[in-house]
Amino acid sequence: MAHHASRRWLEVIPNPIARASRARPLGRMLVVRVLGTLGILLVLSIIVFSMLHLAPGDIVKNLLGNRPSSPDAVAAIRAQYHLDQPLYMQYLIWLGNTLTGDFGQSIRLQDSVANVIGARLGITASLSGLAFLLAVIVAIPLGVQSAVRSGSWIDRFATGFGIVGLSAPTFAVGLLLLYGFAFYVPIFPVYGSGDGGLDTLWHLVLPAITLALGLGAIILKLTRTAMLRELESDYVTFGRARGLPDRQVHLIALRNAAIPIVTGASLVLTFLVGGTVLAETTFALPGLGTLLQGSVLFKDIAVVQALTLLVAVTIATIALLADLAYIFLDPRIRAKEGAQ
Amino acid sequence: MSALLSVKDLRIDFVDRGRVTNTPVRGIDLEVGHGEIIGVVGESGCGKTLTGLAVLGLLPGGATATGSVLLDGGDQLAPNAANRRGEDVSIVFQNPGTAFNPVFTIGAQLRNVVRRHRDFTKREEDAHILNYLTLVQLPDPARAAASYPHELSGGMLQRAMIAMALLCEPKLLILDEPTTALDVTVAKQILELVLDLQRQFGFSVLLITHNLGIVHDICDRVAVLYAGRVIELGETAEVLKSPKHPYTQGLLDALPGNRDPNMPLAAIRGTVPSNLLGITGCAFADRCPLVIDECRRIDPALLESTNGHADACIRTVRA
Repeated sequence: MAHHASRRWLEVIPNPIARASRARPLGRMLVVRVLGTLGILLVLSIIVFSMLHLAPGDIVKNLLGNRPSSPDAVAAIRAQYHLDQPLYMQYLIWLGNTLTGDFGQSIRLQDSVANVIGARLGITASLSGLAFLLAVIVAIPLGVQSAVRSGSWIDRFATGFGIVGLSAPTFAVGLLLLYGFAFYVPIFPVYGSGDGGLDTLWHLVLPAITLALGLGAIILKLTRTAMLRELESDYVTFGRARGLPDRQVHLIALRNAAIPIVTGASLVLTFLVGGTVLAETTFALPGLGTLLQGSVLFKDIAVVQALTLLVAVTIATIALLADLAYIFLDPRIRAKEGAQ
Repeated sequence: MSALLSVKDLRIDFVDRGRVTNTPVRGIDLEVGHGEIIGVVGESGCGKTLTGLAVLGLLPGGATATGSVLLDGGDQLAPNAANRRGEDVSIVFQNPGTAFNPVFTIGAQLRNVVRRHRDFTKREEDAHILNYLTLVQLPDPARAAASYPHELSGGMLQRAMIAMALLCEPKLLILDEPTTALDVTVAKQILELVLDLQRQFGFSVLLITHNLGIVHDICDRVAVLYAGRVIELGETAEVLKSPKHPYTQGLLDALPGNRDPNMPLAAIRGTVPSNLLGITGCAFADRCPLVIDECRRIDPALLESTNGHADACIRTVRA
């Protein structure tokens, strides 16, 4: 029988030759993306560096406070932080150090930037992760149901939820939750990050819900729209005409809808960056958001630069992962990448 | 012998918030015998596709059907009609490019159907699917199974779709404009393939088309639909040779081959009424070149004139 010789026929990739021709452009795409990201980081660091210098305020004054200062002390501080050098030299010094892995000293906190960020990264990462998880777990099933039962009470509820989530400002939601569930009904702690482990997780619940609301609303809308479109397509009718049960048809449609959902959700993740500043401030969490806020106000250049680059790298990585997911999810895109 | 498919007084209403907004199918009677190929022809909007979907038990949301659709004794308007889809009745759609899911291989999509209806081992599934892809004369069945829809041509996809429709040996195959999206030579091959498979397996075919040429080539009988009703029904040769209803005559006159090549093509003036609510008399009256006053008063019934040849025109002289 013919099928004996070709038992592999159901595999996703038909033969090894095709696999090789698809892998090569993928590698090239990765290289291009990484180089592009490096270029963006360089430009971004120059812009942020110059902007901080243009902003009003003086680091030396910030450091010395209201104490009377001698010209010698001022000169010493200026020399210590290379402030006596021309602006481009200051930047080049920073760039040189950064390239060797030294992100410099935080003037405000009198500690290395690596330590300062390292100590706060965990809180922000946990907060963002938890918020994203909450948003996805609630929004995707709700979006699917509201598309499948379009017009039902669940759809109307989801639409209402979406409008509230999109239009309510993060700090207002945060304050409302604080008032409701930390003060009025004291289930959750009011501020701080707790003593680590489960206690920290407990402290992060309200801020995460605050962030997840806006995020979830967008993912909900994306899911509903994408699902509605897929459910109307010919292949869904064709599948049902073949006798496939509704549940399976919905799962298949979700698989197709995953393409726009993943792209959209990754874009939404970048929204978290601004959101964490607000949520961390509202709940007094010692995370990167509050660090960024304090450092900008103090003109703590080294910290601001490092944080900006960290955010940029994170966003670039998410975008890259989304593109890879796209290629993985959609064979048509895969073919196009292969043809280039 | 009783018919395989028996449609009696099928009406389809579109209902919006309890109000009937349109009645695109207004009482269709149709029988399809075992092993018969029947053509259902008419312009767009005459209710052909909706009738096909009703036979599948797959009406779109907001549509409700009354009357009866019996397939081999099973009620296709009942909620459990889904169980017979793919098993007893199957459909091939107009556009093969959109009927397949773009993100799964052809093989995976065929496998879904086999899994749903048959209790096979994976090896048996593979063999079964390959067997059918070979039957529809795909040049390299194994390769086709491993391909994504965008990697195959329209003609190949249509062959794969026919394979998919036949996977579970249905008694009735509905072809909804199966060649409209294909070019002429490919269309001819596809029709020959369907005829060939029909002779081999003996299933019945309900061919929905607006192309009288195709009907002439492969159909035993033809039902002409207008505004949600059968207005002429009979043996293909008989209906095409001596059409009784002015609408059928108009369709035939509009074919290029039936006219002097130097003359402009004859068209039926006007269009199908877009909403069929509250029509009195003959729905074709406004477009009919032979209209008389009675046409607008009397609702014409489908009546037999000669042996097996029926039409719904009050002007027809019946024995």
